[in-house]
Amino acid sequence: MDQPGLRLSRREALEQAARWMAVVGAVSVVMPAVALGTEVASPGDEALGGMVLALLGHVIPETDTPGAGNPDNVQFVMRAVSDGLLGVRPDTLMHLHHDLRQVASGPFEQLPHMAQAVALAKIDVETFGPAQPAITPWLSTKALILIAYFTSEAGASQQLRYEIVPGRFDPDLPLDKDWKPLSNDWAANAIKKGIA
Amino acid sequence: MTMAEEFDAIVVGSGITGGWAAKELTERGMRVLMIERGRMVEHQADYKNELVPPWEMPFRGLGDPALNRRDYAFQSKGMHFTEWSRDHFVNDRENPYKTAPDNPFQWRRGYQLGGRSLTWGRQCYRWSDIDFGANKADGHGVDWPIRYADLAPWYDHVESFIGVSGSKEGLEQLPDGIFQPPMPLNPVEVALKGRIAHKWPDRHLIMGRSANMTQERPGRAPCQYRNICARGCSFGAYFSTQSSTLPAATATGRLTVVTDALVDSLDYDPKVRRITGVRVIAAAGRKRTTYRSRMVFLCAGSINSVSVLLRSASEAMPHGLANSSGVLGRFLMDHALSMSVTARVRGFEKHVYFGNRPSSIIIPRFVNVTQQVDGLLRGYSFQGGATRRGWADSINEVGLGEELKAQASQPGDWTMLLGAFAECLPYADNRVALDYKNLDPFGLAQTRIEFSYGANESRLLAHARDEAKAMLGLMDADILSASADPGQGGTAVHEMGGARMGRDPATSVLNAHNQAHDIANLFVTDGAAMSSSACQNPSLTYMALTARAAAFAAEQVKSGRI
Repeated sequence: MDQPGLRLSRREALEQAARWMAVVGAVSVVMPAVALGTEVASPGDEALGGMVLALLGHVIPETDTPGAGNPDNVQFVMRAVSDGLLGVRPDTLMHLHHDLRQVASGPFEQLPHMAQAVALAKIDVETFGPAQPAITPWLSTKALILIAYFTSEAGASQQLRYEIVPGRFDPDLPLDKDWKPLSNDWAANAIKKGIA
Repeated sequence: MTMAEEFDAIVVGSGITGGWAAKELTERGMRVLMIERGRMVEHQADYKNELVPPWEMPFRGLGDPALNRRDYAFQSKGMHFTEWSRDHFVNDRENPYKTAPDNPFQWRRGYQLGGRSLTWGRQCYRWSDIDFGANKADGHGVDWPIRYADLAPWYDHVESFIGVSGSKEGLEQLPDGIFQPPMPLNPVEVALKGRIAHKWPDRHLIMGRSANMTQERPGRAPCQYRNICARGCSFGAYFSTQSSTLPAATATGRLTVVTDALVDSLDYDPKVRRITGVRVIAAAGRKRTTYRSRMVFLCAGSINSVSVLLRSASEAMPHGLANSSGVLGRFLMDHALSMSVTARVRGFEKHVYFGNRPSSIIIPRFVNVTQQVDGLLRGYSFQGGATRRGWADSINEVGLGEELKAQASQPGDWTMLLGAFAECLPYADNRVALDYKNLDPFGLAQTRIEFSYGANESRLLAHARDEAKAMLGLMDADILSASADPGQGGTAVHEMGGARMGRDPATSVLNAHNQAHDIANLFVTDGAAMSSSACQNPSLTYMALTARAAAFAAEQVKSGRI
C-alpha cells in the first residue's frame, strides 16, 4: 500500500531506480521489496544541514585532496533533495535523519565523530550489503553526495582530472598507478542519457 | 499588414537544411531571405555555457528538475539535453503540441538560429540503392523518384563542404564518401571488431562517420574531443548552420536573416498556381508581415513544414497547400530505437583512453542485405561503443571514507553498448494534423502528432537484441541489460515524411527535385520529403537533397520556368 509522504512504494522504487539507471548508465540496481515506514517529524533545516555536512565528510574525507564536506556541497545536496533532482523524494533527508537516529543514541549531527561513523557504517552495510542495494533514503543521499563531490572543483579537478579541452583522443593507453580519470568524461560518468 | 521587400527566394527555417538552401541559392546569385522563428544565436559569442565547469552550474549540469518538469517535459528526456545545453532546446510549455498522453511523440525541437544543427547527433551516412529501392521492392510506401546515382554527386558536394570523418569500407549498404581520417576505435571496440569479423565476415564494426572533423577547414578547427557539442562549439569543429553554411551564405552579400518571426502560412494564387507570399508573425508584439519572393524553400523541420502547409489551406486548396494527393501529413516515420544490449567487458583492465570521442561505432545493416531473414522487412543497424566507467559506478557500492574515495577515483569497468536503429515503415495512420480546438500562443492551431510503431519494427528490434547478445557473447562479458523496446516515437529524433517525394502526383506531394507537384515555386527539402526511413541517420541525405533541389530551382529561375 502506498503512503504518500512516507517511504517509497515498490512502484516508486522501481521508477526511481529507473531514473538512477538513466544517470548512472550501466550501474546495476537491484530492487528489493521496500518496507513501509511511519511518518516522521522534520528536525528542521539547520539539523538536516548539519547532518548533511557531517555525512559529506564521512563519505569523502579530506586526504591529500580536500574532502566533500563544505557549504557548497551541503547546499547542492539540500537543494537537490528539496527540488527532486533525479527523482529523489523531498522528504529523503528527513527520513534519513530518522533512520540514523534509530541506530544511534541521538541526533546524528550532534554525535561524536566516531559514533557517527559507526551509525553510518551500519546503515551503509544494510543498504549496500552483500545481498543487494536497498531503496532507502541513504541510497539516494549517498548518490547525491558522490555527485556533489565529483562535480565540485575539488573532486573534479584535484581528486580527478578536469580538462575541458582535451585536444586529442588517445584510444589506448596503459593504465599506470598515477593515472587520473577525466571527471569530464561524460560518457564514463553517464551525464549523457543514451547513444549519439 | 505590410508588403515587404521582394526576394528571389525565401527559406523558412535556419537549421541543417535551411542553412544549406540559403548557401546554395545565394551562391547561385539569388537574393535570399531566411526566416527563423526563434532567437538569434551568434556563433561563439552566444554559446554561453560552453566552458562553464559543473561546479558553477546551479545543478552541476544535471538541470533544474522543477524547471524541466514545467517547461521542458519532452526536451529534457533527450540525450543531448543538459543544464548546459538547455537554451538550445525549445520551451515545451510555451510551444505546445498535441499528442497521445499514453504514448506521446517525443518531438525534440530547437527554436533558434541554427535550429537543431546545434544539437544534432552528427552521424553522416549515405543511403544506398537498397534504401531508395526498398519501397518498390516490398510495396510499402511509394517508390522513391530518385536512386543513389541521382544523389551521389550531391553527397560528394555536401561531405566536401561540411567535413565528415570516417573510413571507406566498400559496403553496398553504406556507400563510401569523401572522408577525413576516421576517429580511432578503443581497444575493446578493436577486439570486438576482430571477433565479429572472424565469426561473421559479412558484419562490419567500423568507426562512425561523423560531421566532427579530424582535419581543419577554412575558419574551422578540428575536433578537440570534448564531446559537449550541444552546448555549441566555438572551434566550429562540427557542422552547424553557424559554423558552416551561414558564413558561406553571408559572404555572398545576398542573404538577409530575420529571426523571432514565425511563419504562419503561405499565400497561394490559384490563377497562376504559385506561392505569392510568406505570412509572418513577429514573436514580440505579434506584428504581421508578408514577405514576397519568386519561390519558397520550406526547411522548418518535417513536422513544422507540414504544419505550415496545412495552415495554408485556402478555398483553392481546402485540405492544405500542395495536397491534391491527400497524403500531406501522412506517412510520418521515426527510427525505432532500442538499447539492444549493454555489457560489462573483462580483459582490458590495463587499458585506458584519454579524451572524449564525440562519435560512436556503427555496425551497418546486415539483415536482408547479406543475411536474409524470413518475416522481417527492411533492417537495422547498430550504433554505440565502449567506455570505461568512472566514479558513478560507486554510487551503488558499499563503502565509506578514504577507501571509497580512492576506489571511486580509479577507472571502472569497461562497458559496451549496442543500440539498434530499426527502419520504420511508412504507415498512413502515422500523421501530422492540426488541432483547431487548441491554439498556441500565436493563436494558431496546434500541431497534432499521431504515431505508433508497427509489428515489423518490434520484430526487427527483437532480432537486433538477440544478434547483439550473440555478438557481445564473443567477448568475456556479462550482459547487464537487453531490450527490444522501441520506446516512444520521436526518441531517435529522426522524424521523416509527411510531404513525401514520389513519381505520381496522386500519391505524393513532391517530385524528384523536392518540388511540389501542385506548385512549381514551392520546395520542401527537410525530412518531410522522405518516402522511407532506411536505418541510417538521415541528415546527410537531407543536405544532399537540399543542395540538389537548390541547383534545380536556380536553373528553373534562370530558364524562366519559375
